[in-house]
Amino acid sequence: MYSQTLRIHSARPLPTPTAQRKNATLLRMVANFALQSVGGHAKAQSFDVLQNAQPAARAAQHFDATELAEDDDASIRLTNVGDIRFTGMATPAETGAAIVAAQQEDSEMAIRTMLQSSHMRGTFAVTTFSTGEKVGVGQWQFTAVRGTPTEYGQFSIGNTDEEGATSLALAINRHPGCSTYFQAMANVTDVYVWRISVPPNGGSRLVVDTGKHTVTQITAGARVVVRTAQRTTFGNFISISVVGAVTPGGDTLVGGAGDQGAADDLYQQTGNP
Amino acid sequence: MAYSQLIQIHSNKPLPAPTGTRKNSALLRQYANWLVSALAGTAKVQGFEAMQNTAAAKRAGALLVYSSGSGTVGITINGVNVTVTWATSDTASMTATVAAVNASSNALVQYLVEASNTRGTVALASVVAGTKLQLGQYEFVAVSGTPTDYGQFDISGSNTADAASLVSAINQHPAAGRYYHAFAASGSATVQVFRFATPPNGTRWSATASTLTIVQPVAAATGCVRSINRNTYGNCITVAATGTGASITDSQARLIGGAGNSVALQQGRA
Repeated sequence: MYSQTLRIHSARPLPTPTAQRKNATLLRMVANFALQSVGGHAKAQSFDVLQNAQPAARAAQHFDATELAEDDDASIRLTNVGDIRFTGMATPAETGAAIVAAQQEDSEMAIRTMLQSSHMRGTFAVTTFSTGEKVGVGQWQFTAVRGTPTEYGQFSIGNTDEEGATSLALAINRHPGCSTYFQAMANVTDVYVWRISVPPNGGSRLVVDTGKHTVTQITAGARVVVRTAQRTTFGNFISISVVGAVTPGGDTLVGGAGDQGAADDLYQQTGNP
Repeated sequence: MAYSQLIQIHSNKPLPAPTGTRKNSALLRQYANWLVSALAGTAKVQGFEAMQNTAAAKRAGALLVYSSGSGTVGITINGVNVTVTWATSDTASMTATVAAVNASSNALVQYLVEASNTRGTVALASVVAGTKLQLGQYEFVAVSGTPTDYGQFDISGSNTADAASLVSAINQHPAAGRYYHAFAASGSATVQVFRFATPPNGTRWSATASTLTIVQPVAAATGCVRSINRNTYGNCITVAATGTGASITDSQARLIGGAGNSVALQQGRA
């Protein structure tokens, strides 16, 4: 599994995505842009590339605002990004929605563009995964394997339920497609799954063998996840403090990956078109 | 307008690996071909993200200074202590510190930050438009007003403001930014420029007018620590000086100056 980053410095922009210009069409235009960079038409002056042998993932942390009373002010400070300020509402679901709205509509561009958040959460309560067992998150399927996963969409059953839950959360967060729409965090033998945005196909239902495990479908609440918009190790250095009756899951965002090459000589290459 | 566009591709096959001969345009052509093969399915690409960034990307950095140091000195990066025993001189100790940072295998340091104390300076005094500064093969031209291209810096303000513009021009330059990192302490018209690697075509600095006073790069008692990747998230990396005589310029608690991620990502499937 690889997550490779190519950054092109140019005097002309990449093709702008539109409703029709997306997915394979957009990737074709990006490929053509790279070819134009070689030909000189894109006026590219340099490029950096990072050949990363590990899957990239976003850094995230969860916050519990269940105890925040109606009309009480609170905030989440993400150092060097900004403050998300919000007010407690009549119900936990409304408070969660208020936090997400505060992040998405903040006047600071860094808050709006460097971060994403959600208060739509479901849970897998894990009990003894078996090899070959399937877990569904919306349209994406995750398969339990023994040992280290070798493909996107695989997770390890581990030696304990806790290890299985951790591996499932990791598989969701590093999946190229699924993690765009969902963010997972393991808590002992539970896997919390937040829906960041509505996926295009197959809804957002959580599916698991209910004879063994317990699943709680995604609903609105006051337990909110905040994550970096980009998949990067650097997100782990965003530290957290809170004001008001909000409990963070930790002191920093965690789980970010994607900037640490497998070998130094493959790490970051800079070239001129 | 300068753009720094980011494409992140998630696949089951690696990009072509750079080699001594597979580099620059040959390497970029291979990447373009690889992207085309992604469309055909042979590259096994499962998803990608593209960021059309209308601002130039820059690395985040900070300066570590030794002045009459003694004992154990160094820097704490992301909570990881990287220290040496002060010996011989502040400059020699800084050289050892820089080597220790670059040799660190700690996951919170390795591949994320790099350091250098090979430093030169450029002092600005009433620079006029058209004056050129050459750092090795890279040219920076003074313009009056907002720069519109890589390699330009604005001299329409005070000397201090001009210095800040030159710092930005060096750090956001697509190629020079790989080899150099510039820093202007607050209120200073002197730009400190650190060389992180030897550029391919010469390292000599020169200027076309005496309004730019150049000191060629040599080992210094001041070291620069910066994020390896050009991104805004680098500003979240914490730094602190350790030991007698060690300090971080302007008392920064974190790296500063990183840019390149403040635009929403576009995500898609191949």
